[in-house]
Amino acid sequence: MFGTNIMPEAYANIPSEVFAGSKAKEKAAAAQKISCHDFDMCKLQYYDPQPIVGARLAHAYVPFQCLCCLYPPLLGLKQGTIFPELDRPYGADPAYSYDG
Amino acid sequence: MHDAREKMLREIQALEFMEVELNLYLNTHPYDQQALMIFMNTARQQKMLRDNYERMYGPLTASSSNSFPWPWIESPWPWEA
Amino acid sequence: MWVYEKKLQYPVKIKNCNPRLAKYIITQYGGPDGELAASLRYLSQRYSMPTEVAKATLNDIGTEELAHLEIVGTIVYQLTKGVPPQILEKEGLGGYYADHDRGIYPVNGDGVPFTAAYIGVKGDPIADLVEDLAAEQKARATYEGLINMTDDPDVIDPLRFLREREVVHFQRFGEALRIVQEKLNERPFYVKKPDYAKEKPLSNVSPAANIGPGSNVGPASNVSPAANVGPMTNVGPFSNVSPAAGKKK
Repeated sequence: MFGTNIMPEAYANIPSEVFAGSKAKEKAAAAQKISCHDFDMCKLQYYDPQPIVGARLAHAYVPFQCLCCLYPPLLGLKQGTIFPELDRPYGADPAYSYDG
Repeated sequence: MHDAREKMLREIQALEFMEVELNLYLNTHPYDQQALMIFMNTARQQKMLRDNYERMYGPLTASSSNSFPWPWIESPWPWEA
Repeated sequence: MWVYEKKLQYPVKIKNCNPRLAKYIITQYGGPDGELAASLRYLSQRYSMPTEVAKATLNDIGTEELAHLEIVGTIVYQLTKGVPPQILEKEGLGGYYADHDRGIYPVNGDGVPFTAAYIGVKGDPIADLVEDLAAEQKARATYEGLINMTDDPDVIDPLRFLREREVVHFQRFGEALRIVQEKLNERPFYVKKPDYAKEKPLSNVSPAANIGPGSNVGPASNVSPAANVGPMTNVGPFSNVSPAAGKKK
């Protein structure tokens, strides 16, 4: 239904089982528990996201996000996001907390 | 008593927040099956918690009001501490 | 349409009143970079978006901004609750109190009321999405300024949450922009795709010419040069010219 209109990076995280047939659903369901707790690794994606291929002049680009770990719900609510790579708190990085 | 209600509400807020975040993520990554699975799990859990809360403390949406007198108007409303 | 849930997206429990801070925080309610402007902007822009992704993104983020509007209103309400008018006047809310008492009215930090001039709906998808990116950054910057102005952890907590949401929304709009740009940059190679199924069958082909079970299946069965008595055999411009007559020089 989306055809060719979606950027290739948006296909990230599709398990190959999606294209494999009916057993894929059970396999995918079983494998979907996020057990990764390495939030620091995920945060590195902020500095090194998917490269932007085929950029044109006079266009603005924001790199696509790839799903990594997720914060547990209560921590996510407190931080303001469930994605560690998008967690950019104010005041944590002195260079970022600009106050002229 | 008050604390138990707040704790339960906080959990529902957290799960609903997770749902909203995944909703926005899935809007721009519609083929991410992993995220979809997590979204469906979260929605299911949140529904359970919400039914519990509504049974004990009153409706969270007008359409889930089901007692007499009309419970939707009861305090506290969200902006009251 | 919208369904309302009787809870805030993020809990707000402020114990200490601070009317002066409320005067500044209300800019995120009715100011140029506030939540009301954001939600109206996104919910108005979604109608003219070309891709489903952009419509969904604008729709859902616009809805979330309405929830944030409620949070900001709650912060202002709790900061001024029970404060006597004399103190409100001393802290700079005299004019506001005279017009609105304890009500929450959409104004900016200086009391200028909200206006639709704060939002832009150009109808052009790229212009709209890039404006939304700018709006998210402006909102984030405003929240950072407000966080700088207070030490009260009960107030900083929801402000931090709202600021982080703006960062995430920026990322989402950026992704939507890329998808829209990709779609708009597509170059169609065919003006009109050939559609064999719609080709009209020739009327001088007798049914007997389509012999066999396979011959009627699919559009190709109408295209069989052998069965067609085509223009090639009819009288054409050259058929009357005998080789001898052509040599008129």
